[in-house]
Amino acid sequence: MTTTALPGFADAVHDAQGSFRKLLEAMAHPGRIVTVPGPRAVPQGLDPATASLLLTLCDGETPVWLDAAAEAVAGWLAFHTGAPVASATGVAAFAVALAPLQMPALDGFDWGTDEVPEASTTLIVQVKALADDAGWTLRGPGIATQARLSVAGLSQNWCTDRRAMQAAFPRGVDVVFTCGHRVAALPRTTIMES
Amino acid sequence: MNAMTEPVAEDGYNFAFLDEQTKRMIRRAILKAVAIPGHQIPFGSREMPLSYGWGTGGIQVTAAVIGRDDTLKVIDQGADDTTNAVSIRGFFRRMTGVATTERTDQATIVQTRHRIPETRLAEGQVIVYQVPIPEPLRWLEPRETETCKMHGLAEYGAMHVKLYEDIVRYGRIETAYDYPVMVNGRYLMRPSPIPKFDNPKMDRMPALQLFGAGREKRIYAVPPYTSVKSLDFEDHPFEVERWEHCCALCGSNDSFLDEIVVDDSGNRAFVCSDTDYCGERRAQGHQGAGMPAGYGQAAADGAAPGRKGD
Repeated sequence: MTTTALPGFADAVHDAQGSFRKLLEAMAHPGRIVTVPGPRAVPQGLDPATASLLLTLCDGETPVWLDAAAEAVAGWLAFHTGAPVASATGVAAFAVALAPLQMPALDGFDWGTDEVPEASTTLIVQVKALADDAGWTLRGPGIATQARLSVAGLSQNWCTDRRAMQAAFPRGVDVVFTCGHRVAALPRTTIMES
Repeated sequence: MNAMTEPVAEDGYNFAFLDEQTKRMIRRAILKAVAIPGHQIPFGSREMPLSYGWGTGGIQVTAAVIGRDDTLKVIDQGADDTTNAVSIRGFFRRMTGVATTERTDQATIVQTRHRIPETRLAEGQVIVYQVPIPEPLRWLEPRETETCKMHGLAEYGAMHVKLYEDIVRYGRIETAYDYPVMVNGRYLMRPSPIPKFDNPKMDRMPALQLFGAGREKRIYAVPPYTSVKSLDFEDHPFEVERWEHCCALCGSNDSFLDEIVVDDSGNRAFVCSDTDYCGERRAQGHQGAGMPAGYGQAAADGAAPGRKGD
């Protein structure tokens, strides 16, 4: 439990605001890679952006599911945010995957309902590399013509499942990728081409 | 950061008035709203230091979004100098210390009541609409449980019937403001009581559009470059209002005009609703036909109609 009391944001109010605005920019422009301010220190295993988003978004109202690789940060998360750990993927407001190859299938998370699509889980997936000049071609709201996004370390099944999810709109999950201090988003509206 | 330019908020209040837990709750709602364009997200609207109906939804959205580096513009019916705009701008100046402006092109956040500025908004800007009634189907179906289902099923026939009944009765669609739109081909949305003149500006707007309804406790959004189509029929296509006049002050023939009474004998003039746009045009040397001869006499009697600075 030595990681529990690590410091969080240097300035809880303004760093959270700065992180949120960058995340909002990423969500409003799917595929765009933004840089968020990190906390003073991060628990082992978390990239600064992952830690930053958790500090920005989570509190006692948001059960957070942690994959096996992220379980060790539960104490840190509870100390800074008070967020309860979700016992199952289906009841999480946020889900953190530090080992994307082993993460559960997308349909294991809450997609919301046609009437309440906002009840869905938001996935925070920490990856080894992000690039906006290769990979998928993205279209949809927030994208003027098209955008590119390449994410290292996802399974082929993940991409197939994400494409299949598009037909379920407005149900679905929104995905935020983190890498170092960088963040890119893939909201459910975004159409992934090859 | 230079200590001289560090924004200073009033002592004793959290930055931007709201507590951090409330901001997080609103921020989560905003992110969901952006991910599901046009869909209304319920949120725990707070008591604000002004009444419902004065922009409490827009203020809460702005408070959750605004940061020290932002420059805020607030308009009410296009004008920066009307009561609602002045009081909200003053509120944020006290509660955040951020810079404010009347220039549309210099603002990073524009909070608006019932207009979209004439100057085209650019990528990176955020426009926050104050919304009285967020539910487009409310006057057709009072039950929230039913409108929820109608949105879930994209069952919007009732709205088309309403517009069709207008055509049968009046020969045209009579809705002049808060004209219903389809967002991204999926959700029916109220654009807030902007004149339908402004509807085309929402379509594929490069700026991020956020909507806050305080009393009704709903937040919704339109991401940049998103399709926003005003409902219409093939044989009755959507049209915006046109005027036979130009702005009396700046001569503009393509902006939204207000008709104002300028003196005690009932003389009238048409002037731009967007004060910043009108002022900028005049600064560039554009001139209108001028105000009627009687303009200003009533002002001398202490019963000033019209607007500041003209």
